[in-house]
Amino acid sequence: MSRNSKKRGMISSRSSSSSGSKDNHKKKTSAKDTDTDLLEICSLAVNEALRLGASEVEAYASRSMNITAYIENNDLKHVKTNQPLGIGIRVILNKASGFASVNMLDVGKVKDAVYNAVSIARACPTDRYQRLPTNKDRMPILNGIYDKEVDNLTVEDIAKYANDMLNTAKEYDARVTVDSGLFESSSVEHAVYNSNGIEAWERVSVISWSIMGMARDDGTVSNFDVQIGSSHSIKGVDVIATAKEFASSVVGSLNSRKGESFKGMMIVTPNAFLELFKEPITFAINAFNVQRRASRFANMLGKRVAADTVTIVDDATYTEGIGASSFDREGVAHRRNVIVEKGILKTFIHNTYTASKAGRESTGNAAGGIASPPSIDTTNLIVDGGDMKYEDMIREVKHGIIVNRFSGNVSSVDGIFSGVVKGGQLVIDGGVAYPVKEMMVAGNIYSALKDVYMVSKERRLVLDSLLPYIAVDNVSFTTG
Amino acid sequence: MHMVDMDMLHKVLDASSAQYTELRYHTRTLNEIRIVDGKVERARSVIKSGVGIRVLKYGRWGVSSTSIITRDELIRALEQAIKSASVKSYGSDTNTVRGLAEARLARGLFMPEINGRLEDHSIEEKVMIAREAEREARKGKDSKIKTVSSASCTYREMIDAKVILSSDGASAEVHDSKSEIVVTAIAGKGSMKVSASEGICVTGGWDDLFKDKDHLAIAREAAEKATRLLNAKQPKGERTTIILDPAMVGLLAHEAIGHVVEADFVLSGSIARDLLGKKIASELVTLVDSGTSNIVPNAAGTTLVDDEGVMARSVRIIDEGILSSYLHNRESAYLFGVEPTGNARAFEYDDEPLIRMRNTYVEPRDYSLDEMIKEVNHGYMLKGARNGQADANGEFMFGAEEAYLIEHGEVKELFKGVSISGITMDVLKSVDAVSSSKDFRYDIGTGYCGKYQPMKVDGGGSYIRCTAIVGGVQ
Repeated sequence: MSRNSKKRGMISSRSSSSSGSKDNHKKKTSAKDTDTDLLEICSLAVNEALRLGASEVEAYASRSMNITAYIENNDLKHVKTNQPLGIGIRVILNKASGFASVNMLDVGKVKDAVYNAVSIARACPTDRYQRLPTNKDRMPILNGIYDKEVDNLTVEDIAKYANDMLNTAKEYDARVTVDSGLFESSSVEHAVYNSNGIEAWERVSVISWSIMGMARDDGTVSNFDVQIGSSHSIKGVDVIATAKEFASSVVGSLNSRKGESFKGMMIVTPNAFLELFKEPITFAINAFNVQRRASRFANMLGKRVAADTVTIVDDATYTEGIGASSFDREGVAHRRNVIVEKGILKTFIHNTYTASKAGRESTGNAAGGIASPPSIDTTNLIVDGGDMKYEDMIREVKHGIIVNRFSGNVSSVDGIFSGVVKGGQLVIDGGVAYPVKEMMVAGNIYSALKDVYMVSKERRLVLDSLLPYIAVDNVSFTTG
Repeated sequence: MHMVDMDMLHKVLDASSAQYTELRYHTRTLNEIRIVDGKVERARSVIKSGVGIRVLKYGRWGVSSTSIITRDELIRALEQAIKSASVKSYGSDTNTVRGLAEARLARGLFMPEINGRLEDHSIEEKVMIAREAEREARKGKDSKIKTVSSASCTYREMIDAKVILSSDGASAEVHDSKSEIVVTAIAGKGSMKVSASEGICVTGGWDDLFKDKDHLAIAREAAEKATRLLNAKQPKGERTTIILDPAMVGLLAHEAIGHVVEADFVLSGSIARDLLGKKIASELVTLVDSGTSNIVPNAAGTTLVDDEGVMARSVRIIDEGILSSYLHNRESAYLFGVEPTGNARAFEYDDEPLIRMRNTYVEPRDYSLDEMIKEVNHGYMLKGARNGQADANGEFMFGAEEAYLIEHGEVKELFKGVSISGITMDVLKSVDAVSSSKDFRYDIGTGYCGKYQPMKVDGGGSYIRCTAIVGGVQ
């Protein structure tokens, strides 16, 4: 494909922001990495690899500005700034693939990386499914994921947000002790360019914060808790709410008691859902694991994998989630993919390699940064809400544990999990009886998905996941 | 000939207006080959270089970094670090730095012993090793391993070179070389599938990596383990006696004790806060964290000089049951009035040094494993480390790949999917047997420890016997 025809795939979110214009692309690659045009350096890398004999080439480059304020021991610890940048080059040569990356954008270093990628491809065996995506249509532009004001945040601003979060938690209750936390702003510019006509560029801003610790009262120590928040824009920052939630959770788990071992209902909060369910679900729907028959969901397309209360969607176009962006790691346009609908498995998630093997199109789930060739991952994982209020769900529980967090091991291959309940609360006859400690929980995630008994209306956004509370029956709880 | 313009780095150091300034030039080459079911899933070479700058001004730290190594850019990053140290939004003076402890600062060239430079082995050879190991796990001739339906092998190496300069005299050039090979086998029967891994990670060279067993032996062990686990069930959950293998001891040392004695955790209120000099464990327990690879060579967490330029030393954290030291950087050592232990480590150039473990182990004693098993009426023998986690309140958990039931002194049925939990001091006090040095090995080096940044650490010991909660079904 002619290089001249490649402007078709351009993501124009750059022109929708006041901070950049397409004229930037006319800049010469300068010796100063901070000024280098990402698409231009990607195109240089691609042409260099073609010159060295590659049949298909992809370059992915990114550059970020990050400011992070760290909290430790009830006080701000330090503020850090960094500006990571770099490029990753994937070449396909004689149907073998090689990859190299360097965290510099000057022409000499990029050419060295191209040479490395070609050398690696020459050392690798062939694989007939290796190919890169081809540009077809103009990609849709995703608005609402870049706030140019984030670029103007200063170290002082970031420190103030962190301090506001810290002070809110401390003022909520004198017994709260903040072990650690952080507030971070990140403004990212990334670009993909390949020899098949893909050319994409955009900016994304992400602000995230977290707070963790416990409460102490007369020698009694509560459970350890962590709360997290995130937003693409300054407007969406609410450190106060996060801090209050954290403080109320740790104070609420003071005076926890040892419970009894039993088998009963597990009420999973959105935080615990992430720790228990996200990894095995992501593993099972990943087409690479399906094709190597390591996934529990292999051969299950169109069949029941969860209770009919469960609908799971992967949606990079959901702009509230920090997994949102216009295109994936290969420059394929992002889209909304319904994975599980009312318990029935509808699709797996693909990148171009697995799509090529399956004889279909990629689902836009190529994932990763500059330092790795594209893998497969979810973008924003969304679980639909149910029709019950959370408080009504609790009322339905005869004997169960609310699992606020889970600290343990989950095996994605067989689904077996075993670990410690954090911030657990015992529920007896529809009401919370008392907070529990030293409680372990064990079971099988894939069975649990089929045993989801109730799903709450309320949902919580945790970074790149929008999740309800769910209740699962027949789960084993052990105390010592 | 230095890898970076030393004169330029010194000039930037001299230009700093901060009371303390530290520059770390770090270049890392990471090479990785991952084979899955006979195909190359990933073959990559990643170069990451830059200078990390940390300053202390007005009693506060400021941190910055750059990958552009020019004088102007380094000065810009230095000024940015000073600006970060100068923010006014501190809520209290809890974290105001009172001083940095005097330390044995490193000067000169440091490198671990390397047998067979990794750079002298070609990409082709590394691809071949990974392909052979993956194939052996999946299609080995041994009839016992026909159940393996899918396998992978990852070979990874990290080759580091650093220059560490500080305004109070550290001036070290530090080289490091770490490599690892991990084979994972997935065994299947009908819809039942189970995975198991086996691997090794060393600080050293190619010959060090394969000195105990070759890649094919590692592959066969992974395949056999997955096959054994195929028919295993989850055990009944209960508090009971457990015997931990060296990998599990490494995980216990790391999760249950190591994290709660990191001085930054201690200052934040970890359970170890008021326990220095007190008995916190059975007198059979002597627990050490060391930058060198004690007892046996090539431990993965080996760190000769830390990222504050402090000579790493061996620390007896627990000495025959008595808590005798925390793990320190220069800031915490000053607060506690002790010598820094060389535990300040940064993963890459743009990470700031944090208090991290290195090689953490329980010293061997004199029991034999057979005796330890014979004395157990009911319990489990736990083998193979999975993930672990510890909270500041002393509650920890970690997972085992295999759990063998012990009944009346005999090893019986195999169970899977086991996590262990307990409160640090309770579990340590329950230790009633530690086996001899012939069983000693480091065995958690293929994993990474996470604390804002990943980090290569190792841990181990011989076998120990104690009591904890075994998570399982009811």
